[in-house]
Parts: sequence; C-alpha cells; structure tokens
Amino acid sequence: MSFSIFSIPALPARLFNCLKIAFATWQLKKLPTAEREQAHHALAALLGNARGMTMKIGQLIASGSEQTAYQPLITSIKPLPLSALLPILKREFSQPLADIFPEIKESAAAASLGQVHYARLADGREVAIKIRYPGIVETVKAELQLTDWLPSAGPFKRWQFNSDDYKQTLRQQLLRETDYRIEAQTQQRFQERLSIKGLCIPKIYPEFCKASVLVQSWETGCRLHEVSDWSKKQRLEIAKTLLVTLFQSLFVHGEIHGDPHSGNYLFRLDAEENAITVLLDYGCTVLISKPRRLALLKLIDAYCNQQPINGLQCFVAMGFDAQKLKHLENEFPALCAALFLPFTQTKAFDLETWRLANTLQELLAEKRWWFRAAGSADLLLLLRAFQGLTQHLTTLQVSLPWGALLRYAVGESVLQEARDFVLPELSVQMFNNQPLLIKANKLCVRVYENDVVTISLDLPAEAALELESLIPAAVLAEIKASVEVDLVKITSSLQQQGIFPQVLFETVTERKLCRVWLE
Amino acid sequence: MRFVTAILHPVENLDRASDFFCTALGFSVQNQCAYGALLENGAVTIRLVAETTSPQVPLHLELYSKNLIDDTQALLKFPEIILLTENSQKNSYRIESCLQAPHGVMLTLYQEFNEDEVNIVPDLPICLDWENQAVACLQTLLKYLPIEFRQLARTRVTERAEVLAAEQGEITVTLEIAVQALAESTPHFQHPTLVAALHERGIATGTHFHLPES
Repeated sequence: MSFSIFSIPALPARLFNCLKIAFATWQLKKLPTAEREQAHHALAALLGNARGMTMKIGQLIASGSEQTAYQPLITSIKPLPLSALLPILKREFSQPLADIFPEIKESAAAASLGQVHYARLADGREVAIKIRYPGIVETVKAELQLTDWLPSAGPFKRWQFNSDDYKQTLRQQLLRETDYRIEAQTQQRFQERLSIKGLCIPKIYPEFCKASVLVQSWETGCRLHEVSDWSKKQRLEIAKTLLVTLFQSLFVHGEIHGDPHSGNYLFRLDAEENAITVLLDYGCTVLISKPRRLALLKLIDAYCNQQPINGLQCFVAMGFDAQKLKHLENEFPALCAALFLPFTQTKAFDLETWRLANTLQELLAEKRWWFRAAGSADLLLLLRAFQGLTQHLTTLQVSLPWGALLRYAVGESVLQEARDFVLPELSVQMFNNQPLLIKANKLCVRVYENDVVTISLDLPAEAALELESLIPAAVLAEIKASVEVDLVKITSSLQQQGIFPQVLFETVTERKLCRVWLE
Repeated sequence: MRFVTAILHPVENLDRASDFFCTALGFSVQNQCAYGALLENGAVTIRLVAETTSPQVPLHLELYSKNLIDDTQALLKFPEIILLTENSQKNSYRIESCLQAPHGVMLTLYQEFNEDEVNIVPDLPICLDWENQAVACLQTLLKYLPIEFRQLARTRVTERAEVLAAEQGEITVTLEIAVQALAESTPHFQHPTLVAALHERGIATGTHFHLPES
C-alpha cells in the first residue's frame, strides 16, 4: 500500500485535515470490531496524507501498535518527485548542484518531514541526501498552534497531567527536527560517543549540511521484519546491539535516540557474516540529565542486587511529581519489581513472560494514571525508546540477559557512581503545594558559532527564572525574533511546574546554535 | 474456605467394591455405613456410595509402578480385570499399561525412567549462541552430578554461562565460560570429580574450582 501525495496541503486545508483525523479517531472507538480494520486503514491514509506532525503521530501509532494498517506510514509513503525538491537544494547551495552532486536519484524513502535521495559526491562517494519538504516548517508551526487548542479532558484532566509540559515538549522536539543542522550535530555527537560493536551510525558530511538538507554516508540494509529468517546468532547480535546502544546512550552519555520506529533501522551482514545495525534519523533525541539517569540506574541496580532502596525517592529524583507518586506509595515496591523485571532476572529474559500492561493494571488499576501523570513529558519519549526496544526484540524472537548486558554497557565506574549517588531527600514541601520546586542542579547556556563554543555559562538552576537577563543581548535579540521560543512562557511554566532538569530551548540561526538546558 | 476432601464414586455393590479397592489397590476403609464407605491409601481419599444402577462415568486411577510388567501381571490375577494396553510408551521417559477393573474403575499403571536409564542426554535450555564444544563438555560433565540434582544444575549452569557471556558483551558461550559457570553453579564438594573429568578430556579448569589442599 502506498499513499499518493505530490504536494503538501495548504494551511487552511491542514486544519480541515486535522479535524478529519480527529473525527476519524473519535469514530474508530465507536465502531464494531468487524468495521474497525477498514477504519484503521482510512485513518492511516489520512495520517499519511497529512505529513508533518500528523504523520509523525501515525508513525508513533505504527511503532506502538500491532495494527498493520499503520505500517505503511513507516515504510511505504510515496516520495515527492525530485523535481519538487530541487529548488530547495539550489537555494541552499551557492555552487551549481551538478558540481556538488553529479548524480541524484529519485527518492525511495519518504518520511514525515523530509525524504531521502541517493546521490554521489564529486569525488565519487555515495551519500544519502535528506531534503526537507517545501513548506513543512510553516505546516508544522501551524499544526503546533492547533495543539494549543487541544482541550485538557478525560484522564488528562482527571489525573492532572501537565498538558503545557507535553505541548512544550512536542513543540521543542518538532521544531528541532525541522532543522537538519541540529540533527547533523546530534548524529555526529552519537558517532563520537558510541563505539559499539555491530552498530553503524552513518557518517555526516557537515560541509553539505544545511537547515533543510542533511548529507550522510549512504547505508544499505534490510528492514527488521526481513531479518526474521536470519540465523539465531545474527538475530542475537542485532538484539545485543540494540540493548547496549540504549543502555550506553542513556546511562553513560545521557542522550538517547527518541524515535525508535522500525523505519529508522537497517540491517545487513558484514564480510564475516556478522549482523550490522544501522541506526538512522537523529532528529528526535532525549537528553536525560546526570542526576536523573544516576537515580534510575541506582534503582535498577538496587533491584538487581536485592538491596533496600526507596523507589519513590528515586523516581522523584528522576523528575517525577512527588505529590502524585505519593498516591502509589504502598504499591511502589511491587511496581518497581514489575517495571525492572527484565533486569532482575539472572538469566536471559523472555519478553513473552513480561506482560507489563496486565501487571500494572492488576496492581494499580485506575491509580496507574497517577504514575503516568507524575512523569514529565520528556520521560514519555524515554518510555517510547524502551517500548520500541522491546518490540524489536520481540520481532527478533531472541532472549538476552538484560542485567548482564546493562553491566557491560555502562561499565563498573558508572555503576559505582550510581551506587554512590546521594538521592535528594524527600521534603514535606514536595507533598504540599509548594510554590517552587527545584530539582535541577544548574542552568547551562551554550552558544556555538560554526561549531565552536563561543559562550559557555553554568549557573544556579534558579537563574532559569531570569533567562532574559542572562542571555547575551545579541543572542537574545535573535531568540526574541524567533517564533519558536517564547521566553515568557518558559519562565511562567518553570514558576508553575518547578525547575526540573529539561531542555528549555534550542535555536539555530544562520551561523549560531544556542542551547539552554537545566541539568 | 472450601477444599476437596474426597473423590466421590458411585458403585452398585458397596461391600464388593470396597473389598476390591482394599485387596487389589491397597486402600483401607476409614469408615463404612449402609450407604457409603470412605477409603484412603495415604495419598488419595475415595468415598464409595451405593447406587442402584451401575456408574455411567468410570473412575480413572493412575498407579505408580517400579516394575510395570510384574505389577500388571499381579493385577491381572484379580477376577474381572481386563488388560486394554500393555507397556505402551507415552514418551521417552514413561511407559504405561491400561486395565479395565470392575466397579467402574479404569487403571493406568505407569513406570518412569530417568535420563541415565533411557540413556538420553537432554538439551541444555539455551537462549544464546553456544560453541558446540561448550555444549558437549557441559552435557558430559553434568553426568557426574547426582541424577536428583542434575536437571536443576543443567538449568543453573546454562543460565549462569549466558549471564557470564553477556557481562563480557558476548552472545556466544565459549568452552571457557561454560567451565566457569559449571564451577560457580555446583557445590564445592563436587569440584574434585568435575576437575578430574575435565583434566581427563584435556580441558583447562582455570582458577574457578575449589579443591581441597593436598
């Protein structure tokens, strides 16, 4: 199945399309089972037609659902013709295109914000050019404005989800993804940090990367469902690479790949018949600050070694809302035991035996919403990374000892650091409506010009409330001119929600990249 | 709380049925009255109740035997017991005979054998990739352990070996790792035997085993 799209709908049409999607989703729940399959396909077609944010949502559904209707959103979206994208390439490069890329082929891989073309550089190197769809930035911004109208209803309202936090995270992530220079830098960062046997991160060619163009080495391979007939050893190699990559990214480097749908992986065999996993698309990554990741590792390690630990304290240190978690205090040991079961088994863990959703339902019933609402929005992306991992391992039909691989991936020194990490005390104020909760250690401001750090500031976390007075005037003017960053809104959110470790914003101008985050 | 106290079985002639259960099947009468009898053999309790018609549903009883052939012949000496099937193999470890007994009773006599008796080497419960040499070595050395503990040891050693491999970032269990897992998962008093068996096969034992000082 493929979707026939040759242009991005105009903005008014998007609003209409979004309404159609909302209506189709609402109707889906009411349909009898027999008609639901057809309705899923219709909804998938609508999501695919929309591209941008709505297609991303479709991909999210596809990666988290057994419904086959959404799978084409990952692998079979019909790309735009090259001719529709050539003006973008011509605008981004001052030299004639033929001088830089003597050969560019039609695309075979379309995604939510852009599509990939095979090309050859002047020196003969094979590259993949990812080109942003024309008008997609405006489209995404318009869609993000629509999210502001979303009502906070149902469980979202009942369990006091921080909807502003979710909207802000969505906004930051999507706008970040539309700038391929940020993605190129992230990909380079992953390449420098991760040296994992069996993992291939395509090489970036920074000299050709622009806001709407990303150039990386051309990688080949097959999709995950195609490796099911590979040997058990090769499937084990892939599974190990996936596990070690996530554990090392999270616990050692504090930044994980946040878009684990199967379309972002390629698999191939090297000359010795060893399985190689190619990890693509670094547009959506999640930063997890050191105190948060050490708290999580400390908790997992304690459960693995059957050491006493205050799970509630660990989760609060991870950025969970203490007040909401307090409702689950009695269930916490059983909840942690269920969550960390793959790690605590002293043998290869069979994912079929996990049944986490059922266990949580039996254990917490309606109170599970307190747990979900207590976590910040960025933790949803972390959860998604783990969910993606378990789905891929299930597809591979192999079992691995998670605890042992975690120890290997993070190393003894990081484990010891986690064991020595002193958890912040739970204060009485955390359980009352205190005016300001400070869980971050410091505010970090970095400005890069042509990939060189020109400004590097580490400040007390509370300084985040006075962002405007801290940021250098020249940078501030550019930030204020940007529609993506609303400093007043950020400050107001911090005052309301507390100062938790998070990325506050990231802006990219012609030459400068400015990142501000709480650690 | 509700719990099962006995198996109820209707019979036409209570006295004759009670006598059959006691003489042929080793039950003893706990108490008896005109309309029923409570029988037990230390493991199972059966309440026989008098009915005017013969039972519609037979009572299936499973009997453990140390010697299936002899025990089957012994039962066939009782009147009204008919052989239905003899010494049929249900799986590699079990044979059984089926007999039809009076008073609506069906008997299944079975005899079980362990892996040594049937000369079968069970597969290791492996999840990772194993070198053939490692599998063969472990399967051979597990034979040196008492049969009662062998299945547990088989599982523990296999799981431990896979954890050791994963801790080294490997998905393949080598001979060296298998030997280390064997040493870590078996009681120290068995180590001299295992080390001798390993040396006999020219396999290095490393420093993982605990041997008494000579």
